[in-house]
Amino acid sequence: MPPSERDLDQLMSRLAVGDRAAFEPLFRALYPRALATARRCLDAQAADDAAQSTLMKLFARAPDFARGSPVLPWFYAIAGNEVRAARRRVKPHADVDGLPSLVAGGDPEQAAVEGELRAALGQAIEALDAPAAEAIAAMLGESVRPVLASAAFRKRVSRAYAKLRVLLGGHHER
Amino acid sequence: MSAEAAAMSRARRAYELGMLRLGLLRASLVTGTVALLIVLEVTRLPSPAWLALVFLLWLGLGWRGALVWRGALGGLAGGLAALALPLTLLRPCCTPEAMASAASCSPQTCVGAGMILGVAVAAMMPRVRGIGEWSRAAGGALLAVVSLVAFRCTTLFVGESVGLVGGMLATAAGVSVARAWWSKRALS
Repeated sequence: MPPSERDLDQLMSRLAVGDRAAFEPLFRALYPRALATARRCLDAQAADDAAQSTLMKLFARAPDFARGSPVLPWFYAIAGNEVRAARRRVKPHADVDGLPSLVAGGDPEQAAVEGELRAALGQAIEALDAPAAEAIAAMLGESVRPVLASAAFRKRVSRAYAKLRVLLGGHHER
Repeated sequence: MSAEAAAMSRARRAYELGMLRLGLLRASLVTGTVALLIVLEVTRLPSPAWLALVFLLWLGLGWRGALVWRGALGGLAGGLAALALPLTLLRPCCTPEAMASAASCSPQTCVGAGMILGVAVAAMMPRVRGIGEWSRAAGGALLAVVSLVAFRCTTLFVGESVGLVGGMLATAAGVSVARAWWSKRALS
């Protein structure tokens, strides 16, 4: 039977004062949670790394844990930070091949143009800075939307589009 | 090694490093307090190198934590009391003046002083369940007391040192066993 939240709080409180017997049950309860949280936003390898990093940070700070406090909010805050850090490290890559046709019609010439457009779009997205690329990738449905307030996200998308237009040979609009 | 096993190993190492950081803080506080007592000429140590030994021992106690640390806190109180109180009041046998006269250097005086401190140590011992827990807490208290008190007497006479620490530990053990018996009786 998996430990309840109350059990986890007690295990962390014991570990905080140096009771090593609490380490393994706590790790076994938290590792699957860390992995599941990371796998929602990251690929398998990055999720493994993020889960490991989450638990390393949690246990490194265990002696600072305030006894009697709930452990799970603290744990998920660390896990969230680690997932965000992992996503920042991995620059988002938008798969423009999966987009609907950019050019109407189906003749070879138009297909060639469309291919070039896709390549240009892909290169332009690659050239963007990480937050802008992340915003574009989120708009294209290629990655999860960043954890931002709606207004902040809209502003980021707007700036990303402006940069993208410049990179694609357009002009900067205000 | 699976990803989970590797993560567990690294998390364990991170935890031990976290505890070591806590141990460093605890050892610094205790050693700093002892150093302050020396600077204020409240007490004297046989050599400054003893401070390094005190630091290392308290680093170990602070890193280990749990019952060992809680027991050590009782030993800390008893040990600091022994260091801070005037020698003539607490341990007349260990004063340089008393050393000059073999007759006044009596281990029984140290035993008496140790017994008084033993009561203080026992009063601060954590509540324990079973002999295993008791031995860990008592071990912490013993090391703490020895680190702060015993060597001071050892530089004078071994018999006095043994008397002081022995009296302290015998009383601490007796009082803590009596406390455990009383708690058990109250529960039944």
